[in-house]
Amino acid sequence: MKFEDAIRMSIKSYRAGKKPEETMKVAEKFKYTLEFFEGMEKELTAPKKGKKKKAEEEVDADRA
Amino acid sequence: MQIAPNFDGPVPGENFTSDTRNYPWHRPPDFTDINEAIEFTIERLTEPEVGFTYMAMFEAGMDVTTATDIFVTLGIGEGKWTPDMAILIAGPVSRIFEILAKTYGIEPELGLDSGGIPLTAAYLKAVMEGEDPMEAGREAVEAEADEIKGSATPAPAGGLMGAPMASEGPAPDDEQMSMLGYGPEEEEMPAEEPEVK
Repeated sequence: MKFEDAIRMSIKSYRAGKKPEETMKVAEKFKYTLEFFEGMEKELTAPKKGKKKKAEEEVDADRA
Repeated sequence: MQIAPNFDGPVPGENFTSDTRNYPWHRPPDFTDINEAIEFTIERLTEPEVGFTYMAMFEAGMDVTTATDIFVTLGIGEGKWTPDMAILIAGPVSRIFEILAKTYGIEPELGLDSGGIPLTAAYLKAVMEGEDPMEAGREAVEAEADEIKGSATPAPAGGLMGAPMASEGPAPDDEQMSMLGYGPEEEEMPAEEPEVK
């Protein structure tokens, strides 16, 4: 097996939700799960209108 | 001509005295914790120079799997992680690439089944000129194949013992005489003089 094939297999397994069992035994807590990245994706790709509103609200509060 | 001695060469056994940490991958890796390695990846990919480079590659048609392979292999070369760690972090790294590309409005292919598209000069040129890269790549390969075919000498028909090709014509007279066993006229050797006792 080539290194590229191993990388391809690793990506497939990760996306299928499989975790490296032996590594999980050693690692205290695996932080970067699929769920983590889903949350990150939502946060980064969400429209920024909400943030603008919040900022506007803060400015209004300061003025008041 | 006298050759000047070279004093710059290594002294025998010098290799045993040199620093063994010549290459980053000979040293212990920088990251042995999977979380730390992924945090480093996020930091590295959000650097403008690095991020823009990968995004340009995605725009040129590179898939996520190939980008991941390149990134983790570079990490091994820089001594950041071992090949085993590179395989372990490949999944999260691919996901980071995907998210980053989406934030730039690019939707690259995952490339898990395609086996990756080799980024040739013809491919990149076609992307820059707005042409179909696959078609351009095919044309470049065909052009090169034609060039190779044109420069190749034709193989003799029938092997070594085959009949000569019509274009060759009859052999010159000298060659025909030598084939019949008549060599060039030999010079007469001078007669040996009798020994004087």
